[in-house]
Amino acid sequence: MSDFKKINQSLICAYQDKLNHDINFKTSQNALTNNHILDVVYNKNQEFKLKENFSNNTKMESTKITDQKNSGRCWIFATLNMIRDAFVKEYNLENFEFSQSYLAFYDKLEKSNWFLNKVIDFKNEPLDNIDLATILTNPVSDGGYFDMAKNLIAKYGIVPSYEMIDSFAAKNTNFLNKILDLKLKQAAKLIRSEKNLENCYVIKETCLSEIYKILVVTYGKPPEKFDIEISDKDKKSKVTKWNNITPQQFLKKINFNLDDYVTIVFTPFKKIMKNQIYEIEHTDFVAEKGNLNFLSVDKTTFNLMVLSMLLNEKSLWFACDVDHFFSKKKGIWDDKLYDFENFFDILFSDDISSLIEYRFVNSNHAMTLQGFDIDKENWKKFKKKFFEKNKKLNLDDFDKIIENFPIKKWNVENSWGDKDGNKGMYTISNSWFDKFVYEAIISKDNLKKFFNKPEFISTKEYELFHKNKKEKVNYYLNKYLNQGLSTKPIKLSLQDPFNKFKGSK
Amino acid sequence: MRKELSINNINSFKDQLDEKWVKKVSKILFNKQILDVCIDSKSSNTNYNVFNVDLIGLPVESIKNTDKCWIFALTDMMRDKIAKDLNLDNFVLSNAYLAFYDKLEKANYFLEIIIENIHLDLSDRLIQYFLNNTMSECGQWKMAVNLVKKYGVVPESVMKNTYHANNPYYVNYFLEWKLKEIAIFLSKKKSLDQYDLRVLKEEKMYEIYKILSIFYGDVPTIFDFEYSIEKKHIASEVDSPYAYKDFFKQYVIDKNLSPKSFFNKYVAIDFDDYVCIANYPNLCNDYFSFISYQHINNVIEFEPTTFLNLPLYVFKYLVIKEISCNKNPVWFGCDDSWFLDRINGVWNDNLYDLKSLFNLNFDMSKEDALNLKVSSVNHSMLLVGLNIKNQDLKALNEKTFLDLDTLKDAIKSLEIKSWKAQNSWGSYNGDWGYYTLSDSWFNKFGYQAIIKKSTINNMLRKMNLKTIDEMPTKTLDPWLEMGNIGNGHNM
Repeated sequence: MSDFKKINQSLICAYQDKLNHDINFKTSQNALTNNHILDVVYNKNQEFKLKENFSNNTKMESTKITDQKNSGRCWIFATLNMIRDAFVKEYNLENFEFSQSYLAFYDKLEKSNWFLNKVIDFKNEPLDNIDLATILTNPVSDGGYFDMAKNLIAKYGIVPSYEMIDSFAAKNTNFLNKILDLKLKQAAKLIRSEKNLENCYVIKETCLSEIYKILVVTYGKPPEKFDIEISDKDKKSKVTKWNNITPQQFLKKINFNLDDYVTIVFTPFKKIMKNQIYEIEHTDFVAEKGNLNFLSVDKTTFNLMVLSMLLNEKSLWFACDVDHFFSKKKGIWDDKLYDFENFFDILFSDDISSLIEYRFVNSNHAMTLQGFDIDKENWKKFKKKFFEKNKKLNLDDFDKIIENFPIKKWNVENSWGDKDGNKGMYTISNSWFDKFVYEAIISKDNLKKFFNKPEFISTKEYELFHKNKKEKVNYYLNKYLNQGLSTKPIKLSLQDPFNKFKGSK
Repeated sequence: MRKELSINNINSFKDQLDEKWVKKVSKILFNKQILDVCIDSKSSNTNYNVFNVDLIGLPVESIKNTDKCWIFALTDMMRDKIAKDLNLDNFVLSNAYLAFYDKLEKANYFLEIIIENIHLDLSDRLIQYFLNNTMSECGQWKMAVNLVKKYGVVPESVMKNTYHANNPYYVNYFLEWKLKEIAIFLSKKKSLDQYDLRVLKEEKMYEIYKILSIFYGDVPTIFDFEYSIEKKHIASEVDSPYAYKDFFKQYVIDKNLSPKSFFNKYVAIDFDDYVCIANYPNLCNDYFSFISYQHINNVIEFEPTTFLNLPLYVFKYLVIKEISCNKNPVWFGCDDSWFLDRINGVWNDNLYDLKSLFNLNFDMSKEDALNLKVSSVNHSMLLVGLNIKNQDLKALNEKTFLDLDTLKDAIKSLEIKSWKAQNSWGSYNGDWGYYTLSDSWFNKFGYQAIIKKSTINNMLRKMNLKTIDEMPTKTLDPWLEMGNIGNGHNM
């Protein structure tokens, strides 16, 4: 062993000596003897900067904040918040909540089916096969993607929260997951020693029927038919009633076309190409729907699409890495909130692309975007200068508008109850958004509407972009969305560093 | 039924439900934790925490928000010896001191892996393993020993826990960030030779050392060891005009010790005398041989973690022998995630009747449970006692076993009620922090134990089997390890 590889005493002495000559070191060390680091590097100014109201806010005061408790169902909560917003607006309700545990129930059942399918597919592979080893690690964990929620809703419909209230196990999934894991692996054991493929599917079905039983008693039985009565918040007498409807029928009453929604991804990770569809291997959790995929876009397109939703008063599902620069109590994510570098007197890399590749940064939580705040003065100034100088604009100059739209911060609805943050609402600074938000859901239909009339510039200003409206809309839809959507999907393996963006916090 | 789950399938599941049963059980479970509602009333009436072999231990410690149970179990073993030797009622060693060096060594190990494999693709399984386990809290017996061997130990009074020594989340966060940054930096200098890369590593490691020092405080190098002994334990001629005799304590100071000289003087355990035995039935073809897991290590100049794999009955025999004959507490690795009654401090699989609740039995063999990742090693404690029929124990300790079959039969017929463990989860739960394990739980979820070499060799020699030094070693990849200690879910 070369001496150079190990840590020897003289090296430690040299480090210590260097530390002893560092005049700032002692202050930092003393500060942490009894304190949490986030408390001693907190930048109060930044909190004030982010405090004002939002210039664009889609969140309705009367809708209540939800709480996922000790479960990783954030992706279901964020999806249902988005659908709730559409439903509440359409029927002018005060508040409404869909049952998250209804979807979690079927999520566990479908994941169980998925797991057993994979065990059958991999039955002749050794157990240390890297994909199989990954599949065997917590196969029925809580995490998920928007498209999983979408597939579950399309298949099973949707029910009001009071028809299926969160049970203890729905709120605390830890031991339930272990029980399901054990049951599934007892079947996996049988499958791996079974020669006849047909018999494997029989084993699977028997196991799933047992899983179903466990789910029914832990989550409660999913309702099949129910009555609903909702009333207009302003005209109390205006009541809508549906009697004896199924979850699928209820879904149809809600004006929310799931198929219209696409997952878009912006990642600083350089190995992911832009304007390209990606498909994630082994994510066919709902078997008939196939693997999940997403459209990778550049930063301008990503912001444009997100804004197209919010400017048309639509809240949206998004996912990010919440582990960095966060104050839970204040409900703020902001990369300038803590002055780590000054405190340690050490620089920390913000090369996010490499940090994703090296698995330090990764999307892990889904929430609902409910608005943003812009610097109005700057926006006015920019527009004035921009449109004066450019009397005739190229279609591609539209990018410049997006790039210069001076967003200061974003308004976020979380599903961690109403105790933290601003009564359950959180703020994301724009620079944090650029670094750590990687995924969002947008409506194709809405994007078309947006290109007919972008809400942030006037009709007159929009006309300056050369070509007539129809051609313009087609050009933009093609440029920002359809071109990418028509690409041939590139497969991502289960081990890809960018793959693990499962929301689960 | 093939791949997809159809509505017909679900309807048939629904038809199979016993409505009466569903109604009842879903009510029971609506507001309650699963394990709380299936406690078998028969088993719960058995008294488990009385032991006829009982090595009285010290007051228990708490790992707080760290996952350093593997270090605590070792320091518990050492402080037990110091307290006994010096006649102290209690004595605590600094766990933060060892955690500091564990992190420093793990940082070096990670960067060495990066440097040695600088030309490997990032997607290589080894690199991926290290990117997923860059700065974990986890460890193994061998890793805790490595630290003590290289750096010695210090009393807790010399290096107290800072806030972040008890709550290391952000320590690990910044270390991981920094280490990955250094790894990225080094990979951009691929063209340099290994020597130059190591020069850069040493330069960069200063920042790691600095971060650690800021979080943990300064690490002691020379210190005075002070303690006081109660009068009843010391010679009667001590005379003091200032104190009542009964309350008098004798003050002792031992000056200018280094962590290593403290260890040599007050602990003086030769860890090379011990072997970590394991019961990994999924590697049953390798019983009576060593399994070495590459890179399951922290101190790079020492050998990686190695286990002597043994069948359960031999494993169990050695543990009983070590506790009851040699009176040594036994460092013990297990899976803490199944069947824990936290409040009473009991692990007992028979306590819970999942069968009548879910038609579910934990009837999976240990082999399958490990292979299919239903169970893994994730916690360690000290075994300090057991409840065994007296005549059984006597017979076991007096008899010389000449072959494995006789031993197997003897162990099978033993009546062991329970085991006593000194845990490191504070003194609020269990019997002042001491926990009880049922014997069937021990069989299913007990995986590792530390036994004196001489105890093992004595047994092997009488059976004319290969002794420890003659046994073969099989080397396996790090991702095949049966779990990391400290990866538990209960703290």
